[in-house]
Amino acid sequence: MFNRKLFDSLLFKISFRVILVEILILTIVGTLYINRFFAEIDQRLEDSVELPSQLVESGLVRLVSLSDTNALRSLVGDEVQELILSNSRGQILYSLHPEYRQLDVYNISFLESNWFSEQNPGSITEWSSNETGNIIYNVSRFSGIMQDEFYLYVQSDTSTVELQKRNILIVFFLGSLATFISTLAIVVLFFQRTVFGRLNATINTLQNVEQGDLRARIENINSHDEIARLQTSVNNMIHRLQSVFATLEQRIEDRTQEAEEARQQAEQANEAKSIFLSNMSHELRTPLNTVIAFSSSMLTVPDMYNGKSLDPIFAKDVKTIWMNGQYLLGLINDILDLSKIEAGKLTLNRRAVDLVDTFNGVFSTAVGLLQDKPIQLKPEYPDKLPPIWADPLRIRQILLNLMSNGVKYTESGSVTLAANIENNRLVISVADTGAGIPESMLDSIFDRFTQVKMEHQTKGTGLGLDISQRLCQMHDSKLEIRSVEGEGSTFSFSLPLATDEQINAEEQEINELLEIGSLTEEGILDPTSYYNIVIIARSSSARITIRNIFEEENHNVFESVDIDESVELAGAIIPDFIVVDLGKGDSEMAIVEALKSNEETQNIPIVALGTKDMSEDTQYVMDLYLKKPIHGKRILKQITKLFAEQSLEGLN
Amino acid sequence: MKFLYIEDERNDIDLMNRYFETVEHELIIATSLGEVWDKLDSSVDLIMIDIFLHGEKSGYELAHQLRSKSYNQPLIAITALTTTRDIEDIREADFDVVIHKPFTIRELEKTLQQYVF
Repeated sequence: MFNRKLFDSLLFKISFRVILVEILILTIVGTLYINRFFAEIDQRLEDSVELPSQLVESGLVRLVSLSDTNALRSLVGDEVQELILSNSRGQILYSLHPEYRQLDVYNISFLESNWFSEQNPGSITEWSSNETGNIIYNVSRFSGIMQDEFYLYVQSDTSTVELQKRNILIVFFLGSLATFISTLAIVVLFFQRTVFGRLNATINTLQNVEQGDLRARIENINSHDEIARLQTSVNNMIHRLQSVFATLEQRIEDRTQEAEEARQQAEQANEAKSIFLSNMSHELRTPLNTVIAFSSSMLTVPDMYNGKSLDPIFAKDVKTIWMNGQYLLGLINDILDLSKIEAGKLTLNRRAVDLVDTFNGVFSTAVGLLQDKPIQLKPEYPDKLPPIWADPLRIRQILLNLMSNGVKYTESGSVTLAANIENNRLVISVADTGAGIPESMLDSIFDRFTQVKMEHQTKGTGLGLDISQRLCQMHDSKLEIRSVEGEGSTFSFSLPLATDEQINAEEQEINELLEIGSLTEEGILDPTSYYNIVIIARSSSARITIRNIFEEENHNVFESVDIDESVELAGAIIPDFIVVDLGKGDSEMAIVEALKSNEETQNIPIVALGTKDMSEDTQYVMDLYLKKPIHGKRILKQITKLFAEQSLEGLN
Repeated sequence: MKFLYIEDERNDIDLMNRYFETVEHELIIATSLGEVWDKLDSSVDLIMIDIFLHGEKSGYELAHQLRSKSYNQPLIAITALTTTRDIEDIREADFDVVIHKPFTIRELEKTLQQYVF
């Protein structure tokens, strides 16, 4: 209770000041009145002590009468302690206490000769004290009939008076205290009820509002004084706040809902656009197939036309049809890609890859773009690169775009595809010796449909650089260009090396779906060793196909046909494995058995390809049986898996 | 080898027929899902399917049915559907290869040559 809050409160301050003022007033008034009272009391005492001498002075009492003690006593009252009449020699003539009469010597100081003089009054009243306590006395001198002097000594003790005074003081203080307390009580109660209680109620309500409760109101406003008016105003203000807030909240809710609806609509529109685009793509590609497939067949598959080749006069126009078909296809693809990128729906399929394969693929496709121009295509990249974290399909797309631009805008000279490691990144560049790009156009060259005007303008979609730039950005890179007019242009970008984690993830099973189309090609990872392989197959087409599968990977392939040849060949070379194409007959099975019985060759793994479902017992002879038809890449993969398993077993 | 080609576009059927006349393999055509089950038997070595048949992407369902009937021979999708979603669907339907339309005969040839028959 006794804390800062108490001393801060207005009630305390008011009460404090009221008490102070009361103290001041009571002190001043009290002092004045008490002094007066005390003076009166003293005066009365003095008067009573002087009374006897005055009576004698005025002749109302004769000195003789003083001998009668009773009369004396009734004259002076009880408070007189002592009354002594003495002569000038100190002889006590009369006394209230008769026993003193016998004393000759009485220590009365007033008998000093110089005490009374002609100038001094005949009567002196003094306050003093003796052994018994405080006293007041009066000494008066009288002259007798016979010119002798008499002294009258009246003494009264002051204890009564002192008591009286003390009582007065006590009463005064008690009264003051009572005044303070009652004032305090009145002030506190009254003010509390009329002012501070209601102020606190107001404060509490406002604090509730502060905390957020806008329904709080001040209750019981039962008058019309200033505080009531304040409270009414406060209530009205809170009410206003409440309705403003409610309106605001409602509006926010409405807006949020509107925004949500708008967002949903936008998403639906976006979705609809995607669906429309992919439908369009499908619809456009289907008839385009007819254009491209037939025109290319007329040019390149004479067998479909009874062996007849196209007359050059027709061939030229058919080729134009074919090229425009290709152009249209390129445009469809670019538009789809661009809209996918813009909608944020194009996702990269990044892997840890050695991009040399991609470069090689780009290179061989670019050769087809040369069209008899005197341009040299130069590869300047190593045979092997460390794994790079990139989407090889998209890198191919970018490079094809850059290479075809290079070829397009170069009349003679070279287009170089270069790649090397710099600062822990793979820097790839395509440089041509063409006309170059004016500096003023360097910025806008990435804009859509902007193409540098040239004399012999060949077709391009105008979207290529836009897409290439964006694909670079998606790889966290940037397509940069350096160009000098008249000398050529170089486009370059860089890619990060794959981290160990990314490389490890790559070694897991890859989905084997192959995509083949006019503009895309993808292969499975190939085994990294070079093997010696013997192929045994009756059918020459099978032999050729199988041979191609392995020679594409730079393995060394040897062929044989019958039993003796096969055993001899295998015994001589001891290849890494043997592939046997089991024909319709059983002769190839005989070769397999022969190989497995021969000491020299029995440990060489045999991979057999056949059309039948092979039962378990017949299968045990060979190390791996694959059912035809089977894709070449799958054969490679299965053999790789076989070796991996065998080396694991070998380790165990 | 015997090939089954499931396609409803007249021009594409014509193209494929004309090509297969130049090679040793046999080609039979089905133009609808119903026809497939009539013409399919164990002598078929490889199936090529155009996914978009008669206005619907029925090719997926067909592939699924084939696989569930233990058809383990190569399944090649020949289609103009090229979006990422489509590739996913094709992969999920357990096709082995997808050839995107438009394609050239040479491209088809190259693909088929990678198979040992």
